Amino acid sequence: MNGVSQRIAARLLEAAVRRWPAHLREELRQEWAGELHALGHEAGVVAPVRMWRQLRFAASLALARPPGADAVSLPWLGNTGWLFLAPLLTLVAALAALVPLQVLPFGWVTYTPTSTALFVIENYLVEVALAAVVGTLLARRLLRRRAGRPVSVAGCGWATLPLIAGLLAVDVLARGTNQVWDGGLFAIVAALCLAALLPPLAAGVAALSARGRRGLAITLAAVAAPALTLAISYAMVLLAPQTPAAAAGRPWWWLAYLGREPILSISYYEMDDPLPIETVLPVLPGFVLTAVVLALAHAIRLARPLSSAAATAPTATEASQPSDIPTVARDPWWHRTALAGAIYSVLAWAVTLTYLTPNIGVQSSWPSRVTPDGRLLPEQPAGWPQWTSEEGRLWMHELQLSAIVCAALCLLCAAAYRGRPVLPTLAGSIALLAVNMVVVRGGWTTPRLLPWLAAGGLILGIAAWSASTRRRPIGRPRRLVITITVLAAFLVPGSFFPRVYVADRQAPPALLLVAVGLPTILTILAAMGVLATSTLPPRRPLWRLPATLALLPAVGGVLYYHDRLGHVLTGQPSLAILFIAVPLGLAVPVVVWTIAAISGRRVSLFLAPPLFLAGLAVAAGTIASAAVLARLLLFPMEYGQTYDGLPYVPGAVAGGLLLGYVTAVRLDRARSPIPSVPG
Amino acid sequence: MTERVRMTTSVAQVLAVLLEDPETGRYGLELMQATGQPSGTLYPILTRLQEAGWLRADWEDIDPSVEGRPARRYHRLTPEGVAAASAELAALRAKLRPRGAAGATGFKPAPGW
Repeated sequence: MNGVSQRIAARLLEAAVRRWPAHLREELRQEWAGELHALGHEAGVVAPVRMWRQLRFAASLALARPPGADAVSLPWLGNTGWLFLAPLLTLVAALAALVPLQVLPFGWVTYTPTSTALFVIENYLVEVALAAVVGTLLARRLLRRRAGRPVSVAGCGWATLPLIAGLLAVDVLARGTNQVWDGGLFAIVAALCLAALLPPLAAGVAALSARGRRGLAITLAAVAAPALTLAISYAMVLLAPQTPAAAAGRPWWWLAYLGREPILSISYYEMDDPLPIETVLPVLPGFVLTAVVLALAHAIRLARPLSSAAATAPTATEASQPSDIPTVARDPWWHRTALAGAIYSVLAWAVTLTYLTPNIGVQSSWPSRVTPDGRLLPEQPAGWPQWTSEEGRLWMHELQLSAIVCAALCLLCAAAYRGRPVLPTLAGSIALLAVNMVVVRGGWTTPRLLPWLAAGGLILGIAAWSASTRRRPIGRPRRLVITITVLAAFLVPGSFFPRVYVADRQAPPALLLVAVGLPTILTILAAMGVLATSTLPPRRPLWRLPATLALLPAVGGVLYYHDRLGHVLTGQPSLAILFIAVPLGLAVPVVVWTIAAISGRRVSLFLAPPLFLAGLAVAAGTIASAAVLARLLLFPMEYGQTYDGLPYVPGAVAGGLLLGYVTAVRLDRARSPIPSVPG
Repeated sequence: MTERVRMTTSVAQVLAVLLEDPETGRYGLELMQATGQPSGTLYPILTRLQEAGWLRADWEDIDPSVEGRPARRYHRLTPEGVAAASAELAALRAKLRPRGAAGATGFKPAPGW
């Protein structure tokens, strides 16, 4: 055994030496042979440990990139999200391509074993091609972001783990839509097998690619992907309970099941509990094969040496970064926080549309509430006990709109902090609004759509963010951030106006996560905007102000929606009216304080009462304008007819936008640069 | 004549170990143990430092047949390398110093936008 390990170590060292510049090879060969000899003769160390150290020494050198190639490690924080979402992107692409392929033959093809096998092969080829294309496209994007340097071989191995987690997430989402949880162990076994085998395989393929042997790397990947898929399927078969086919003495029975349902996850819709291995086998290989192909495509592309022109070209981010972005906002965490807010908002939108809407207020009840002759029909019971469609009919509409606006503002802010143009984000927001209207108008507000809308919304956001990197940088990022900051501040207090719908019922956690979470995100966005645009030096640490202010809507909002409060206010009408008026009246004082903070002025507390009264007057105007906007524009588009509700959010967005723009223009015009003052 | 070396955490670790006693040569395994870096990280760094003129490598003066082992290669900083590495590490420490420490000089950061 010792001789075998030494031979392996010697082979690895020889492979490592060949990759170094020719003038260094001889001396390095001698030096490493000396170190390997020293490791093999360490006193007081047992033989297995010595062997392990020798192998590790040689393998590390074999996988390392020699100087000159200038590799970088994979930047995890920035790109894990991309890797995690890669399976979702592949899933959408596979659905788009495979569903027509499966539907086309209906009516003129007779399903025989041969034609079925041909369809299966065709579907797998399409899936593999899509996984490879998506994988390489994403890898190209990662490459461009890292100043044109290839990723280290070890980094390619690590990059497979988010991909595996992403596929597991797809599996969980698909199971969740049909509540098929029995048999989840199979997916976990597959993921664990992948986690053990895929990283070294990806590292090996990347090593070949890094050495310029791309053809060999692709060949190895083409052989390894089906082999690994078969091996993992067999591991699942071994772990499964005894089946009739296995009991009949046919050891290869499971091969007949593989690939019958190659479309990722959509096949879960047909499944019922309990889930035997015969039902899992036709579906899971699709997941496994896609994960393997995606990972290997990533590895081959990421590790490939770049041409000298590509390596010296500036990255899109560097080229598009305008010079007048302040130091605080240049921190990567600045735009990442805004992007995280956008992700939360998109998920909140999907949850509101597909889960809260049918449970709180059946939104399709909207047109049925009014008879053709104009009479109001009685309210209907909603999905949750004690709730009726009356509470949700308007609130859900407001929450859906709030989530879309919040996502758009977060993405716009992130774009402004990176100096990117806003047009793709605006286009993405309009697309999200259109999807919302189509789903409501079609009456498809069902939890089954939750994973698809959530994934689709995230992919839309990624596409908007990606598209913005290809355009010219914006000219006045400060003006844009001030507009968004004022608008966000204006929206926060009014977000709690729907407390009026809850009365004395406790809001469920899912509802609180949306109804309280969105204003919390807007608060953070506004606080960050103040820090970035204020003419005063920001107080450090920078996270303290957004985190402190976010506690107000987060904690206060949960208390505000508590059912005990409803009980207290039930017998005191005057107190109840004041309590409902507070969120509406606070919008103006909050905006005034925000503008004062940006322009570096102080506002006296004595001004609070008149500002609050002004806020109430503005709220009346906001509701009136919202009613006009909603009845003329939004309701007819969404429901095909107008309605009698009194919304708030459309008017608040319009008013806040106007206020923010005017403020931004005035502050930007009046800005006088303040030099840094020593002493 | 020395060239500039791109300063990373790994490079700084190697330089810090070599600067502890610039006159003493260190072989690869010794540096691996001192820095905790694997061979695949350490040797490319040593080569880069050598090509930049910061480091020189000398073979151990022994007779392998008498000693029963191959000769080792010792790495030590050149005089130019000592000066450059000291300057780079000092600059790195200053850069990594907590931001609050800047207050002692009375410097205030410029306002945003």
